Amino acid sequence: MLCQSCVLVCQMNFLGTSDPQKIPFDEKPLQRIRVTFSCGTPWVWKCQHCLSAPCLEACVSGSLITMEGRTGVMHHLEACVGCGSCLLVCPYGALSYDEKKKRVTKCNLCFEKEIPPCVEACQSRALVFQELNSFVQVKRKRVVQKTGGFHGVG
Amino acid sequence: MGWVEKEEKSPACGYGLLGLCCSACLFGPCRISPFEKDSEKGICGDVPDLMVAKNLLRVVTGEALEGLRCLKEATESLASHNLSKASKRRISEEKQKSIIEKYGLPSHITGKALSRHLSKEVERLLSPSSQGQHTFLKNIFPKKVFPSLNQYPFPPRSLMDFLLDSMKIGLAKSSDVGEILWQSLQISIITIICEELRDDVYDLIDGEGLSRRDAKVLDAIKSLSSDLSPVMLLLEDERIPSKEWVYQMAQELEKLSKNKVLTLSLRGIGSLLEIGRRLSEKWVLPIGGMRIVVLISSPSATWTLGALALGFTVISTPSLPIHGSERVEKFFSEDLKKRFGNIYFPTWREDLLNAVLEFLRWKD
Repeated sequence: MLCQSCVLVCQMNFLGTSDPQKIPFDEKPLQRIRVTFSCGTPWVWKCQHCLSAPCLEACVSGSLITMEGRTGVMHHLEACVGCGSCLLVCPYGALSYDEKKKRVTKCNLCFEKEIPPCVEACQSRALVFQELNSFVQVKRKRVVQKTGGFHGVG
Repeated sequence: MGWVEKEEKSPACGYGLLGLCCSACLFGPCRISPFEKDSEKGICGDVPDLMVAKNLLRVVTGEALEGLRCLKEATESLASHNLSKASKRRISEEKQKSIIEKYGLPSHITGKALSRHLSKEVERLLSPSSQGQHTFLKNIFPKKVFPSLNQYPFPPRSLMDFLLDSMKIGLAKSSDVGEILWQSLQISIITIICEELRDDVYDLIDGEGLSRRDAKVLDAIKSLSSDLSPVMLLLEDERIPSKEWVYQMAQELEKLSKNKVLTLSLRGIGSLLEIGRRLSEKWVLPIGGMRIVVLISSPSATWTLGALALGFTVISTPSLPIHGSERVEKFFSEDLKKRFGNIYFPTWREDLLNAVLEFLRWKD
């Protein structure tokens, strides 16, 4: 069984509440993050914020953009025309189509918050929020610690 | 775990807060999305309504068992006290009279014989195999004060036997949500019975029962006018420091009602029984007909459900984990009101203050 806490807080954030006991009964927000089993391993279906994002290239309305100084791919709902080109090219299946609003929706990393709520909710620390380079550095350090280090490496 | 630790552990499990997380079997925990309630089920096939109701039943069953254990301990102390020749403490006549009246015991029994009699009666309540009507429970809950409990009376068996049978409903696959919730309310009463009995048992030894500390409240009730007036009971669990929210809520209500609502602070859930009896005596009304709101600050679900089962209107923090099911929420907000006049106000209600003031019938 999966914890799914990230999925719930993401949907709650979409509804503008941080208290699950204040969820309105009649609304059903789209999932911008999904967790399923893939060959027996939990797999998170969410935007990977690719450095060269195919969705960004496919977007005809300019609703998908990268922000200066940030690595994330942002989606502007107001500019989206709902053509679905991005859905077709995304290799991670990370975008979903809102039938009601006739628009595409995806993870925007909740840039208005310091740490995305899904990361905060993840008790097992499977989701982390870090700059790309710092993550690589942490990984290198770990390798050095485990192996004892090699000259000129790490 | 205290509030500080609780805050540190946050964010809490959202599914658990909604009652939509079930870890009753080793296949779990099963979690149902509150946004997919129509299509998702637990691995055992439980729909969200059933999962929320069964979760409540499981919690109160565990707490009631703990209550029975504490009562057993108190009775064992009383039994060894009775056997001890060293104890020469005389129980006041007033105390003896009140116990005899409360439990409907034969009036000629006094002193150590009274202790032995009470001890025996409690043992019968605790034994899973004891049969026969327990006059005890009838006397504790007079029909004119607690009509809700008389409409759904305890079967003529011991509390332990009743508890064991209740578990069967929670385990059944085709259980009815309403039936499970009534059962949860009844089980919660066990905790209140245990606390009141335990207090009396310790009174008969030499200790001071928890509810006895609420004696001042009983004096305050005496001084109330005979005209029906709004009352707010602040019930705090000694095991945890009260959350600031409770005091703020109480102050806000006092301010909005221009201090016309009498606020009384309590320490033990067992006191609610005596308060109910005294208020009913004063205003000649069942609890459900009075303008009383109980503000509960306790992690124990039996406190909230027990107060509701007695007929009190309740606001509690932390709130009951029921928001995952509309059916269960409706039971506590509408069904109870229709039948007995009381209501459960969840803290997540946006119009909470106004709704409570309306209930207290205190509007400018």
